[in-house]
Amino acid sequence: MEFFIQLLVGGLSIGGTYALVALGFVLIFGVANVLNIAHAQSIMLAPFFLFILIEQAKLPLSLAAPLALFMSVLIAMFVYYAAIRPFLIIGKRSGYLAPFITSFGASLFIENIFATIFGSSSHPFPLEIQREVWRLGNIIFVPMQIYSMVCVFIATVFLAWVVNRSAIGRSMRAVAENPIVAASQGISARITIMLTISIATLLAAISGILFSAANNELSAFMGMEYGLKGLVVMIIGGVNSLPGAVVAGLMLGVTESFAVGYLSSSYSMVISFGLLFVILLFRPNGLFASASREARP
Amino acid sequence: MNGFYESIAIPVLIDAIAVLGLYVIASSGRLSIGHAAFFGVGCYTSALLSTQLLMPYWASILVGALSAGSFGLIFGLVAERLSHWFFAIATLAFSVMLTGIVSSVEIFGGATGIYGIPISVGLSETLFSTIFVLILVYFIDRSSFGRSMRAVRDSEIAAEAVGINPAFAHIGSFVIGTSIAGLAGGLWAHYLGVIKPVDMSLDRSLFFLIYLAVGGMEHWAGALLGTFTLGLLPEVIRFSREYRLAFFGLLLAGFMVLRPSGLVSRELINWTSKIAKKIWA
Repeated sequence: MEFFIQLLVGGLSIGGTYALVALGFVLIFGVANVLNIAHAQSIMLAPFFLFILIEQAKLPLSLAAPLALFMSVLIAMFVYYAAIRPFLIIGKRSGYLAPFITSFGASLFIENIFATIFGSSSHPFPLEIQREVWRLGNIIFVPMQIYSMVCVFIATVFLAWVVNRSAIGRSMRAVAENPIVAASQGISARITIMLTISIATLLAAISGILFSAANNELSAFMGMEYGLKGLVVMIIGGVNSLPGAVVAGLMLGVTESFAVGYLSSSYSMVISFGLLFVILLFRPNGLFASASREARP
Repeated sequence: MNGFYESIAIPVLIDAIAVLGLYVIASSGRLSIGHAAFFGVGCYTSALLSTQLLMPYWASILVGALSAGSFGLIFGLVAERLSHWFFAIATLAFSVMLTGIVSSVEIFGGATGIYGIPISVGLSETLFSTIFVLILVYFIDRSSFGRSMRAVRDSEIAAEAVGINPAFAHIGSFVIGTSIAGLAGGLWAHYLGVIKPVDMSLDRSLFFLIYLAVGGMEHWAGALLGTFTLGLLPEVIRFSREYRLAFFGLLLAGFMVLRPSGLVSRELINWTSKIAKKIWA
């Protein structure tokens, strides 16, 4: 029973971080109607910038953390300008594949530039992480898991507030509904999309820092690895549903954690993608599918 | 010296076969980022048949292609409901899952792969297969099925309105494309004599995708041109392997922004055929 609860807590904490990644993908997909693969690299960029700023530039954490987040947002903006914006010009028709492929190319470029500069092996996380565990009766809690869950909870509540209550959220929902009508009401689709990408990048950056802190490692390839999980979560949750992404993320995390705990760690990838195919068989539009949306012309 | 040229030409030709398969998939508007998984199915099936059952190499390569095609059929049926992008992500997920299974199951040799496959594919066999696949793709393109694939790519609703079943076109093209990838995989296994899970990894899928996207998805010549230029150029100018993927990523993004149709576009084909007719007449 203790083992079960530990696995459950571990699964929920890792699942929460998957959910953050997936939420970013869902936001960008909902508002810009583009599947921005390069978003996955924000997961890798933030801990890497943290690594550079703390190890090389010797900055204190209070300065390095906001700067790392800011730099990842900057890179995301750059990718947006180079790879996605050219296809968003209203009236210019381009196949739905083109922005997908460019963002994929940008993602590949970022990943391999970092791999050649910093080597393809993994580095330790730059900060000291509390290693001793908390005990509650016979149950052992890893503090990092609890911190991670708290961070994820705060980020999710913040996102829910932004999307549902704030002015930014209203314009985001308006652009997602119809960019032309939104423009006629004085809402700039471009600015809204940029804001959406910034918010999504912040979520991915936080989850990336949590990932690398939990595993005490960062590598250039972690972006694609976790980004892929985020995409799987997005599909399981039903592509354009924010609550769906959260539920699916937690589900994937828990399933994986049980698979690793009761079976073997080498099956983690197989289990998560197996789950995707099983769910696709029975609910082809995902768990929380609203009316499926076709690509806008 | 002859062996050196062969060692460059054969892998590029095998890649060209697989990219032609990807071209067939792309003709129906689908994109596969896990094409190497089906390449890998062909690799492993043919390798196991040759080493365990001692089948002749051509038979095992053919069975490998068929098994890759049947994997493609199962995948295509399951993933049919997904719309374009998510289909691509599902192929990616499928390939990662398949690589994971292959590298952890005993009969596939784990991470070390399968050794001692009879090396029976040389330049002539590869060239023959390339020409065979090229003719096949050419006739598929010209057939009514090829037209229905392109109709579905351009507009599923319009295609349905004239009585084309989009699901049939999608799944059919996926099965054909994955079978061709399996054929390429079988050739690869019998050319190298040894296969590892790396052979079906994501990197290879990415290379296939980049070759096709840069070459152009609108005509089979694009698949060939993309593979030959991007496959041969780095070998010829001795471009560093380290930077190759980063450079290819940049190339992929740049090409899609500046010339979305790739090197060989419909207009280019129409233009050249017009010029050719003028010279002929």
